[in-house]
Amino acid sequence: MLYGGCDVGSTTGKMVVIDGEGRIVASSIVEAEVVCEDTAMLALKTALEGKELNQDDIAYTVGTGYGRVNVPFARENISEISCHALGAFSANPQIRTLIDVGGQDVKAIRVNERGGVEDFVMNDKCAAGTGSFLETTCRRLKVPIDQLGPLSLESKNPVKLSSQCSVFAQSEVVSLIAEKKALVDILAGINASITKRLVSMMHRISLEPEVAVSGGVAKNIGLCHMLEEKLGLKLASVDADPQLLGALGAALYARRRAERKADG
Amino acid sequence: MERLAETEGVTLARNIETWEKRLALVREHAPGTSSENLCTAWRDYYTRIERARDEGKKLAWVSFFAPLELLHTLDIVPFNPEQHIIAYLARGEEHELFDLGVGAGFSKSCCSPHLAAVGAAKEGLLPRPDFLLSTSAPCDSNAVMFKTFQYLFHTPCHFIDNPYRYDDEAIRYLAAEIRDAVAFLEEHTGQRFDIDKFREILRISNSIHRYHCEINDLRKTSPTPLRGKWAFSLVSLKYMSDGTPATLRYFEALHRDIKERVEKGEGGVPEEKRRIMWNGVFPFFHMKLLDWIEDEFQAAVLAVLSYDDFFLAGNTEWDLRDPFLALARKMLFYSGICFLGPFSHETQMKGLIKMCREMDVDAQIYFAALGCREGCGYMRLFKDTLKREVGIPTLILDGDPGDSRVVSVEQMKLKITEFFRMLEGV
Repeated sequence: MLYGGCDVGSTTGKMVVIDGEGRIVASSIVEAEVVCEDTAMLALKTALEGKELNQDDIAYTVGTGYGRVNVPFARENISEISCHALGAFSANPQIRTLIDVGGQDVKAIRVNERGGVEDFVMNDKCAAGTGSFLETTCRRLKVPIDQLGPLSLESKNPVKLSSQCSVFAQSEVVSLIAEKKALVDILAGINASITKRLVSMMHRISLEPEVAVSGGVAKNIGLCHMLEEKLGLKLASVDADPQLLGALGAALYARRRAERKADG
Repeated sequence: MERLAETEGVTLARNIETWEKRLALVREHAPGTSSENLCTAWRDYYTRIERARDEGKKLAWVSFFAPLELLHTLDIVPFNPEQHIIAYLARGEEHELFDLGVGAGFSKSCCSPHLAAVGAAKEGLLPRPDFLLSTSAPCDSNAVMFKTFQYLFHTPCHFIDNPYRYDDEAIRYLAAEIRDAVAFLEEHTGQRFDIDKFREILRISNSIHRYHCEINDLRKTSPTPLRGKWAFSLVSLKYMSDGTPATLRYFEALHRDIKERVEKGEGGVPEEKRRIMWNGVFPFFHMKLLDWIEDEFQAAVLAVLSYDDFFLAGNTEWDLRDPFLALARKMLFYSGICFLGPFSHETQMKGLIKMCREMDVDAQIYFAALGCREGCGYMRLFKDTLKREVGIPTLILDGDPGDSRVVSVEQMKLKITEFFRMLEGV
């Protein structure tokens, strides 16, 4: 029996298919389409490609992410905070604090010893600190987003960004270029600015180790390195692609739901 | 002219019309209920303000917790601009007044109802005051707003200083402040203050208070008989019209209605599964959020703001031998509503912990209002203390009381949904 989790975010769609033991048998990460339903269908199709699986093999699917109500093949939807918590917990049961940096929001989550949510905070007043902030700033600097992390690690003298606002930060970056600041130092400054926000969010929920990062930003090694420095601890590794943790959690919830239904 | 048309809803005439319509509906569908008294009281409140000038009465703009009984004694008509703006925002009509407030030079980062009130005052949308009477409670932003009104209208303004603690010395100090306010009012009305009439008005306030305490006791039952929005509306009227026979009639009728509901086991939320303490002000621009919580999660919303009598609960018979001391005692307690008041954190926490236990709440939603320094400053202390002492979790819900552009309704709903999922353990 297979179970699916589909995480439709603002910038990407993710699909995870697991077996009855919770092992990932198929997955995908696709760029978001304009319409959420299209993103979900593309994520599903991409995950199943070359796997000799089809949609009917998946007994139960849960949708998550901001587009969770628009996943056509999902039987129900569950919020991404719950899904990220369970996904991260299943990938490393020692995790107690999780920071999920999504395209349009950031969440700090305290995870309990059963993979449930103990507490959480979300940013919701602005885009500062989100994946969108990184993307737009990198675009302004003509740096591919996947190069942000490695390049920032080359910096010896990160600049200090004073603007928290994504829009004003763009102007500040332009000024820094005009001042002939080194590109790597600007990139490190961008990571440092986000790191400070993430750390303060984690402290709001009484940070407790182990700490992990989920979402696409977890692949930014420069930011992870700074987080470790600021927190004075090593980030926990997870036994899955960190960008897939939300979809994995959704798939695990799908398995629970299906089993509960089967038990009557 | 176009701007005035857009903000027409803020006028008194519109309010009177709204309450008239509601009254007609209530008379048709639920005659003889407390709702009828509520509509009548509000309609009369606005009518008194609208007619004040024609009837040769002085109009005083007042802050929350101002001693209305003094004004009633001297036949002065009180008008609370902040409440008026909140009622306007609660109808979902907004934005324009904030921009007007900014245009008047008030800071955008201040409390949004204050910002909107300044905007409406500057635009001439509110009835011009003869003088202003404010207290230093509940917050500095309120004091700044009244100073701005004074600047805009070139009107006499009197401030009553609320002390920061509750003890005999503080009560005597506040009583002296109230006497100073009487001197100010006598000077600006040319009338003598009638102490016997004052005592009679305080007797009415005491009766209202007594009913309020009994209503709050009834609200402890499960299921709680009032819906969150309804509970809020009762304090709203009291703050505007304390000491009046119309308000007393409403509280009397409401007490009767609620008692009946409790006896029948009727709850505001029919299948009450949870009881949530809402701490702080509300997103007034979308009060339906409270209904949504109650309907979506079968969670009764109990609100700190509607428990303002909690601190005074043990004192239902006021000693009116010295009415100034009695009024000082009442003002100090009322302005001590949990998080806004001038009291110390320890006093507020003690009250909140007791309330949460007696109300048997499952969780707290703490509305962290942008621009509310008093409210936001304590949020971590409230959250951690309630977790430690009562064992209940808290959702810090960022938002704004008036401006929907700060945090959208959808974002708030998302957070609240996550919170309930957390409570349910999914």
